[in-house]
Amino acid sequence: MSFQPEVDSYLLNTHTIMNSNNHRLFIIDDNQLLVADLRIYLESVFGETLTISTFNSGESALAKVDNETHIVILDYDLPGENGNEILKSIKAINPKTEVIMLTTNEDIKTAIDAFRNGAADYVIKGAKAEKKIQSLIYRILTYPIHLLTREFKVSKYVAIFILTFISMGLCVLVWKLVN
Amino acid sequence: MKKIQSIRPNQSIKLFLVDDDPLFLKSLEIEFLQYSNFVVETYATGELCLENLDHNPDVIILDYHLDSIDKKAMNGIATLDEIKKINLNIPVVMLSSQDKIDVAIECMHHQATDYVVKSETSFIRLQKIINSVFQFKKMEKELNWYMDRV
Repeated sequence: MSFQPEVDSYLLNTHTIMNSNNHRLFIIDDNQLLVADLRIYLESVFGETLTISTFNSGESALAKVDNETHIVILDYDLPGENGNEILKSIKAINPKTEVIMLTTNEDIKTAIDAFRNGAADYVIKGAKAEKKIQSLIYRILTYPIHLLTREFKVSKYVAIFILTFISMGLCVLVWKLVN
Repeated sequence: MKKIQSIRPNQSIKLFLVDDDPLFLKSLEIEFLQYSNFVVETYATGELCLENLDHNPDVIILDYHLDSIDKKAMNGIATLDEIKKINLNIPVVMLSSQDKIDVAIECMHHQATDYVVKSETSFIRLQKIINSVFQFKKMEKELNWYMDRV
């Protein structure tokens, strides 16, 4: 799988909002080439918004998962390990961690089990995977914007404006309280 | 055929079967009615299913391609979304002739409980899913009972 950097214009617009938080992302996959490609790709797209750590086994990753782990890209087919069990363990440590399953397994039952265990999505490895992962991470990072567009039916640009306005308002409030 | 024991032996389970294929709908209804613990209501469209949601179904079995005959009819995903808007807690099992993982993932994103591919064995799969839904509900109730007392 090769990843070609492609910066989304909407992503650039929302960069200020995303940059206000640094998100920790884990990639768990035993295919070192894929991990390296994916890391380079995500770093080029999301820049400093993401702090990426990579692991070649579920066991080594689980030792590092904590409340600060926001997103995990988990290979379902790790040798000698059960992807769904690792997913359950991650969710047990931090239910808020968004886990994206990355797999070659196209079995419907396996995908449904992954969703039942709390996976954010189930992505099949292949040509379309890179775009899919990018859009998923981007949806997770811009969740407040999507929440506003979905719940209040406003356009994404209005949502960005509202969030920027709220952020600036909070900054002014804090500044006034300090002084 | 070996009878599978219901998880709610003394109570009947109200099922909504929604499919625009009348033959498949009838055959599924007959199979479910062989078991005394099922009360079945069948609907040919998503619109009719939504109109009758106040009948309080325990489980809805919903065809993915509800617009295969009438192209203007609501499709399965739109119907699923509307059901979830009205009552998030009704388990909805999607039924489709497509053995495609993308379709199954789409259904799960829209909060379906499960996805079953139409086949000769789909009735057995559906029955197992319905039993596991009630098993889960029972466990949830027991957990809530204990949590209230902690």
